Amino acid sequence: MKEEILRIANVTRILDGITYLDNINFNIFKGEIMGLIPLDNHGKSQLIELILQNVSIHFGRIYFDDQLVNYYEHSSMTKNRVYLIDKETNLIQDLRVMDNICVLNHTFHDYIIRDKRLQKKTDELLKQLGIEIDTEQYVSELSLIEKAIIELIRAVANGAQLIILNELSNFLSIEELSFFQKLLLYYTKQRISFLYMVNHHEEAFKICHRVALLEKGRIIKIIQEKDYSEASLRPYILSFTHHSVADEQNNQAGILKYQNLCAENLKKINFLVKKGECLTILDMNNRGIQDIAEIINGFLPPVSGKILVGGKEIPWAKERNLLLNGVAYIPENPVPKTLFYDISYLENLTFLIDRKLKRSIIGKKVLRSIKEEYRALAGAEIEATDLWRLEMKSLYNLVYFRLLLYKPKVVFIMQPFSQADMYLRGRIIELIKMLKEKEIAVVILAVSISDTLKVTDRLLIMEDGKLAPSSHQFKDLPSFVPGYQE
Amino acid sequence: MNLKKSFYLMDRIFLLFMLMVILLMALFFYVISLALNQGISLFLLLFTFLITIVFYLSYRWIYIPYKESNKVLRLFADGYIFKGVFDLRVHFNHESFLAMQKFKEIIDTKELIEGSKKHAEYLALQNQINPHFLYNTLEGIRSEAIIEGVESIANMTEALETFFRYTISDMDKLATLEEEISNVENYCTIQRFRFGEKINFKIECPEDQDREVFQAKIPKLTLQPIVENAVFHGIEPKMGEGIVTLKVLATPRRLLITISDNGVGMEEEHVHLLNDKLKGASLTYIKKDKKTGGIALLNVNNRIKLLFGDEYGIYLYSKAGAGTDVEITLPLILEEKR
Repeated sequence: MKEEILRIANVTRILDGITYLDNINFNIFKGEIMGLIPLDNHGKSQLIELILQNVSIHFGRIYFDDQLVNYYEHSSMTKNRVYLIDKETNLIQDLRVMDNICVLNHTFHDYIIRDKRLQKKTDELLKQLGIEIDTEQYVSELSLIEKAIIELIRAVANGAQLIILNELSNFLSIEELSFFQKLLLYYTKQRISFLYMVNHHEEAFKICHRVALLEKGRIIKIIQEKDYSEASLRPYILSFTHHSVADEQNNQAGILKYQNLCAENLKKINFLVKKGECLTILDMNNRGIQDIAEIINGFLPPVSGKILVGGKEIPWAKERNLLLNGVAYIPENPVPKTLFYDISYLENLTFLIDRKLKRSIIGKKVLRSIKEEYRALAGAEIEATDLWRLEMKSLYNLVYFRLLLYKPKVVFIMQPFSQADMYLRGRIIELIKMLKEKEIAVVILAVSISDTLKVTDRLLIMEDGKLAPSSHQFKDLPSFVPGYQE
Repeated sequence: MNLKKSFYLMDRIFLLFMLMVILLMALFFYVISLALNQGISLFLLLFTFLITIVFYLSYRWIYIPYKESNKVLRLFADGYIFKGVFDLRVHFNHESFLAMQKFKEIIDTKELIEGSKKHAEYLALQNQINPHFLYNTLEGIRSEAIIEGVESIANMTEALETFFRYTISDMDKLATLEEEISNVENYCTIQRFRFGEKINFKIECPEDQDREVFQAKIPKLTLQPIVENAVFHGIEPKMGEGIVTLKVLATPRRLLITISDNGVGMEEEHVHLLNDKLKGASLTYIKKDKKTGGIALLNVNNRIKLLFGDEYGIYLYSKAGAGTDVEITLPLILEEKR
């Protein structure tokens, strides 16, 4: 007989007049990996908060381990034995691995910290899982996957019965994710439960026992493992269509060329991207693409090799000015990193235009003309005096419209679909297509493939900083690439 | 409903309480100035400490329970909860507590259950046919069919007779899940004469699930009205094969039954509206026009909530073109526990 670790019954949560959770109903069994796909991100963070802590609710009941812990009449504000693993680590960066696992733990009651005892205990824990991490290492020295593993071990050592995993594929590469999932399965045998929050159903279907769909703060469907199929999901998700332009570009000359580029984690990288083409570099172990991004931004000098833009070599001294040579970069989660909330929409839109026009004062006529041109795309939002009231979709529009206006030769995009809900992902796909239509070459740097397939023309696979010998047209992707299904 | 004629009692208490707080604060400031003038800081410290405790206790003992009780009464008035109103964490006074208990005793959900039950019978029969006359007639038709060698008519008549016998008799009793499923199978047999192979009925139960769960007690006529809903509103308007699946899952305390169909589904707003109604228990739906839909669901939901409490009931998942899942949550009642 299955036992429940969490039961959420008819829960409604209203904050400042906004209904974030609307009559939510679902349960998680002990030893189960329950998937949760938020189709629009509405209510997701409020749900996480509610599971972690028994905060006030408008209506409903929450049972944890068969005990009523929160209900409409009284919310105790106590914390449940739930742990959250996110990209932002909860570990103390300046403490060692063993301190994080053993000392920062509810079960640790010693007055004196005995290093040998701690090390022995931590080593044993890691050995059980077949993991080799130096337990005397400081957390700040660990990679993202190592941090995630240590968090998982720490959560279990802390007595957590339910662990929330928030969008692992946003920060773990395919290989890392696959290894981490093995650990999850190991822990499910010890009756630890997981709430696996993920944006892509392909990823959820691989590991989860059931999958719930969250939309507008409501659970709209719970899919059982035996019913996993594209067809069962089709009524609930948007379909993104792909129109290949690769064949049209075959005769065009390369606009950007990386020739034998070497850096700390890059080994003789050679690739070429053409006008209006979208190339995806899928990094299987999340090392090389970070170096590519740092080289573009001028933080990391390449050890050797050349970058050619339009046939002209760009010396690294000018890398910081790559933008002037027509190479732009959109970071992961670009809205807070590239937009200025206190200035107007138009000022944000024309932020790079001075470099394009090579003059610091832009005439009113030019601005008026840009405004009228982009009104057709942005609508009334173009009049916004600041960005505070704009929706996430509009802010993403602005990030991409700015580049449409600047019209660089190549745009590098780091993980474009990271943290984006289904509707936003659909919009990002449209925006990337707009870049391609303007004959801008697009290079997507990704650790997970999923939605990039909807826009990409060519896929390069990078493993241990090396590019695989042949590229793949999107039609003949290798079977091992997750997220790809006929 | 009587309109408000004067201040409510709690409003009066609140007004007087605020007046006392103002007086207390004035006294507090007077004492501060007096103590500062005369240099008696120990007294000032003690007084401040006591005032802080009084305010803290007022917040924890009066304000929070008052807000919580108000919230429960409001939820009751809005139809979200029914039994929860009798179990306030902190009652207003001993008399109100006694009054609530008496109220609970008087209602004892009996009349509501009666009303709900009658309505279920009505829904099941839809007319005033004399049951015994019906059984005898059906039995007669069946005998004739056997004599004439028309097996299909005999089978159909038998299924119809068994179905009516189960539906009409002993509405007071709880039935086993097995009996309920058997009634649903009978119902599907009858429907198959009309729809042919268009309707298929499947039962799913996890392999590790104890078979004993089929002996669990549930209110009679819980499943059939929902399956009927699935057939008429989900599968009938749909092109192609229809499948109604019944999934059974038990936890140590609860019995979860999901009835799914691959029919036409429902529009999002309709699902939302129905789920909102299913949150609470009320009989207002009986007075309304039947055409508004979902009456069978509301009826079954009400009977469950009135019999077992607000934490049990029905929840709906549906989407236009994607079928409907009706999730029924019941307490797990096994024979030996009774």
